[in-house]
Amino acid sequence: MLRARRLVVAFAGLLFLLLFALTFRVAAIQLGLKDRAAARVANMTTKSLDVPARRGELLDRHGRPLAGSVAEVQVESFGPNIFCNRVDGQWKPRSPEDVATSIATIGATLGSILGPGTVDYATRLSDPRPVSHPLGAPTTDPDRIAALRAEEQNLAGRRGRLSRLDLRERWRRDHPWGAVGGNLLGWLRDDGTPGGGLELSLDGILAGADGRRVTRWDGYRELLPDDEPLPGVAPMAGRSVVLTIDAVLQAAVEEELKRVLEREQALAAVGVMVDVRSGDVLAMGSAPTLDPEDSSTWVGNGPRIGAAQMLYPPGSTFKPIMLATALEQDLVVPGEVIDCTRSPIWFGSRRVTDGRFAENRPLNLDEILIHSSNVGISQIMTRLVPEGQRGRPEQMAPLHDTLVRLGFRSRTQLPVPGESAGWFADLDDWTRNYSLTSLSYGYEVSVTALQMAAAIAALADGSYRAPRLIRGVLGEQGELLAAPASVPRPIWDAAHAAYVRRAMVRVVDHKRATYPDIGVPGVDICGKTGTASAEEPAAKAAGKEVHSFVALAPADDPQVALVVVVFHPGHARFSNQSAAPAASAILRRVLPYLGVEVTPSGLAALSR
Amino acid sequence: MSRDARARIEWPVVLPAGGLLLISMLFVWSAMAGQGGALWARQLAFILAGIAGIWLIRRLGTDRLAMLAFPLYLGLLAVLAVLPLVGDSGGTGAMRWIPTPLGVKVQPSEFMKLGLVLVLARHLQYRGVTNTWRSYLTPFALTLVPWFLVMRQPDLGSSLVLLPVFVAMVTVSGARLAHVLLVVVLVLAILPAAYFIPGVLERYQKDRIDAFLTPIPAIVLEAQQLRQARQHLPARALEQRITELKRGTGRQQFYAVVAIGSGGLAGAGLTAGIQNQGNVLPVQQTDFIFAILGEEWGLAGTTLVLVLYACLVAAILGVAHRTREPFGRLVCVGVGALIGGQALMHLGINTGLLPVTGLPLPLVSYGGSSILAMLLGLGCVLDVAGRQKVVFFEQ
Repeated sequence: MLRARRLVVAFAGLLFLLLFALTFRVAAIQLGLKDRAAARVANMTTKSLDVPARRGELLDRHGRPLAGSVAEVQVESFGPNIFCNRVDGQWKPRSPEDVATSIATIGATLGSILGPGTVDYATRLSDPRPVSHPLGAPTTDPDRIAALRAEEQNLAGRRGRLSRLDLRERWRRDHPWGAVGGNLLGWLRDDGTPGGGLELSLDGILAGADGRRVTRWDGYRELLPDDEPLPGVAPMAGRSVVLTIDAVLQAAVEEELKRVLEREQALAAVGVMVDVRSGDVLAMGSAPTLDPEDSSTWVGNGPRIGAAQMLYPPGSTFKPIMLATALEQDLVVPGEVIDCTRSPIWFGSRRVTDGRFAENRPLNLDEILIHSSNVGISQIMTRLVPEGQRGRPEQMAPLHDTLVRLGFRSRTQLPVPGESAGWFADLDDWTRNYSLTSLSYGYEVSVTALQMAAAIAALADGSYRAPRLIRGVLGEQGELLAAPASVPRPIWDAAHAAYVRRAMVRVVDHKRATYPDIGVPGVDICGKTGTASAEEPAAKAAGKEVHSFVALAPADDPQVALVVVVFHPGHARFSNQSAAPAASAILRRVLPYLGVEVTPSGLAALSR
Repeated sequence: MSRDARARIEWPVVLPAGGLLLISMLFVWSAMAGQGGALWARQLAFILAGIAGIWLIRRLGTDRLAMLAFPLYLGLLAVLAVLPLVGDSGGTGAMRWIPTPLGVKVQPSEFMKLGLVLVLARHLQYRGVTNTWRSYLTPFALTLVPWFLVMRQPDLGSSLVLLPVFVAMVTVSGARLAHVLLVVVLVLAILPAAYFIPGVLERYQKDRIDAFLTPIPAIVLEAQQLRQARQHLPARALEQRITELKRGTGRQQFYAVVAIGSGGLAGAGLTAGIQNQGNVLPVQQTDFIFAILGEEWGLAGTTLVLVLYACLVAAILGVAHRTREPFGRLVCVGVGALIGGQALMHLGINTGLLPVTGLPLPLVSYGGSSILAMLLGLGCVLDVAGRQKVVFFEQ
């Protein structure tokens, strides 16, 4: 008896010891882990949902959206939500009668809001699988969206007829101008990430910042009503960017490029139009074209923004630049006649020829451009270094500096992904007989159409303006926060530039005698063609060429500079038959839009 | 038994038990706050039924109950044996309940706990343990059979509770401490082996042990270190494991510890616990009621509950210490071991010291069978206490 009593006491002691130890354990948890545990609780019972920010728009220079953002709602059904009820966190099957009633009600409600779907609503709603089915097409109609939301509210005490459905809301990229500017604008993938073009390079401005909606959930992952709003983050809409692009001009350029590409069965065609007074890029097109809303056009087909990405030898389109530089450096004087009686001629071991179109007579400066005489322009540019010398850098520096100041061999800093910088040799590697002769008619130099357009635009008044693609960003109130304007950089004397422009007008007039598609009836334009062998070894071996045409219009008071380049044309032998007609067609379409009076008085005004 | 004896109340037992029942009513209400009052009313009905059971036992007397011990035990064994055939899993996958026409499900294993106490007390009251192997054999067999049947339901928690009952009653009935310790060590050695023997433990039970042995914070730290060392593949595997543990059985215990910890000193207040009200803790009204008590009443509430249990067990064992009846003493020790052992296991699970096994907190958790069985056990204790005093008075 006594032993049993002692054992009872011992047993009680053991139990008390264990209870005492547990008290310590509980105290350690409740006093030591309080803050961490409270943070955990908050983390476990709240859920952060991303609220997508409205992506900023890409607008043309007049505020017309090229890529806009519209709210879109997709209605979706999830089988178990139709066929079951959630009771105490468990799926409880509903009676077939209830399910049938639900399907009929939902179908009728959807039909009244969205109209009949391509697939019968009842068919989709009758699928009990735990799979999300889209019901009808996504809608962007604000009235329909409001009606859907009103019927969908499924929080406590507010059950709509569509409470068993999910409304998936997102922003959709909209392109009111269709594929116009597609290459430049780029595209957005299904997940909203940018795939290329300005969408990619300006993503930091356009994307904004997604918001967060913090909601409270119970342990069954059921959304609890927001009795007390939880702190969240409102989405910050992306800023809209106003481009310098003019949608009308862009459409015209792209259409003509597409046409010449198809006609010539060429590799690619690019075109750039620049406002000569500001450096604004008014149009920058490429063909083949890209449709931002057709994913099959997103990949392949080479560089997308060829005007800034594809390099080519400018060929004879470089001669006006060389001539203006020669005048500026006093290598020639206006009206001087150059001996072009022999072709080919030799500069040391370097042979220069005018080919089968050689005039073999003395040519003045205008005629050198009109007949695109390599012999003539080479003789002029080699005057930088006395004959017989190899040439020191300081002797050739004026030409080198002019090319550098014109933006060749450097990127324009436009927000264009993959822009090429271009190429010409370092000054230390230049020689009189090779570099000066080759550069004078556009070889030993690779440029982009964008660089070329900016350089040609400098002939309007002798000053270079760095091309600009962004006019500004829209502020919160919709006001334009303008980007800095391009600062004019004097390159040539205005008189020298005007002299070259006059010569270029005569080039166009001369061409038009043979090729009536060149030029704009009623308006004098400055122009110069260029036909060069392709640079890539394989293409060059296959006899592929690059045809280009540079223009300033109208000639008396230039407003725009235009460059069109056709890569590897399949039929035309010269640029007179491919790039020049395409550029002329563009100008014929856009000059009236730009308010240019179509009269044949331009040349006379320039002469005065 | 005289009318005076039956009217006598053992307040040291009644008061802490009453306190625990009051806490039970409050926290079952809190846990069921979002689901109406039906379950709370049911719990109240069970408590009232238990009080009626106490009255019945006191009318009957434990001496008559001793005579019914073996028939009761065999009857419960028979019910446990046929449970896989006639039982109801209640959606849990474990055949633990018998549906009744009243719409109430009865869990026989809860009553088996009390049945084992009575049958062991009946067997050991005269024979005791004489420290021969044969004397251990019968009580061991009496424990092993229901243990096996409960284990096969499967109900690991209830089966494990039978062991402290056996150990306590055998010890008090005269076993050598060395022998008892040997048995305890053997059981502790065999239990881990059960993990590896195919068919003994269900998959989910092994998962719970896995989760218990794999502390989530340690793996999180290890995964972070691997990430820093740029060993991404093994880090990813560990992170996947963390996700599994959090989603699986380890989640319950993790959440329970977090709930207790978030209570701090004073708790969030009744019905204000985020985890409780948000149903983050699964089956919080039964297996994790101590966790929601810790969340809503904080350290003050948990300490109160621990003190009440200490008082209750002390009072029960005090009755065992006072009484001169061997049967009554053994019953009190058995009931004390049952309430104390089950409470300790529930608290150990809720505080992350033991693997998760579905085990209610005696007198507090929701559940008719558990409440009823515990109150009937307390009825036996009260009867023993009353009888002991009456004998003393008559002398």
